[in-house]
Amino acid sequence: MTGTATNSATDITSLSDWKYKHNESDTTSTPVIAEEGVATSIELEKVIPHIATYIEQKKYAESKKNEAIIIKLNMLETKRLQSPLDVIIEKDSEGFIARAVDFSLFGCGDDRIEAIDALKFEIESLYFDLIEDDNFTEEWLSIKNFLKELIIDS
Amino acid sequence: MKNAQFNVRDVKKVGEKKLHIEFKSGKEFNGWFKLNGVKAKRITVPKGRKSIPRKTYASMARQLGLSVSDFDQLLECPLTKAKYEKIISK
Repeated sequence: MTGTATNSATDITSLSDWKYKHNESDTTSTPVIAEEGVATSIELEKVIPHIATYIEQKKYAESKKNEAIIIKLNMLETKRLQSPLDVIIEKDSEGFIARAVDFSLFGCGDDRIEAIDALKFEIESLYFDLIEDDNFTEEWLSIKNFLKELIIDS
Repeated sequence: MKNAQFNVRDVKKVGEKKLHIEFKSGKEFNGWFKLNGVKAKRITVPKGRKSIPRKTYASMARQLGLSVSDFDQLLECPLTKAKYEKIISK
């Protein structure tokens, strides 16, 4: 029994030897040789935090895309403004809506630029309506005065 | 909010029939509601949009001086012109 045990210990000193003798590849001890252009696990471990940060940043940018933003409008379609007008732009279903902060006027569009352009047109259209006559409520007459001061007639 | 039930044509039609708004056609439809002969509210109805997005719907309600639920009722019918005038006269 002892002889057999000694023999086997001499013949097969380790599991790798045993595997070698039985034509099995030893994945536990064979060093990983990186192929050209293929990252090793160590390299990947270094990159993973950067990928995670990138994904987080991308997600943040995506969420920001749909957030409401306020811009200052300096120009209308054909007219200039004395001072900038605050406009809120928000995602609205598939498109966007641009709303004037100072009065209830809006413009819609498939993207932000289209929505702003529509609002610019609406402001001018309202202005032209208001300068037609004075048959308006007090609220509109004050908006009329506000727009008359704001819009540079050229 | 019942924006999904109505489209821009419904809003325009109700504006014309119920509130006697005359719409002008530009890039969008615009019209004035007259209270006792005085132009009191101005509504914009976007062109070329079959369904009305939520914020656009709420903005149209705001232009008419209505809450979203009153605007729902205006479009659904229970809210008459007389009731509407009462709301905006407050």
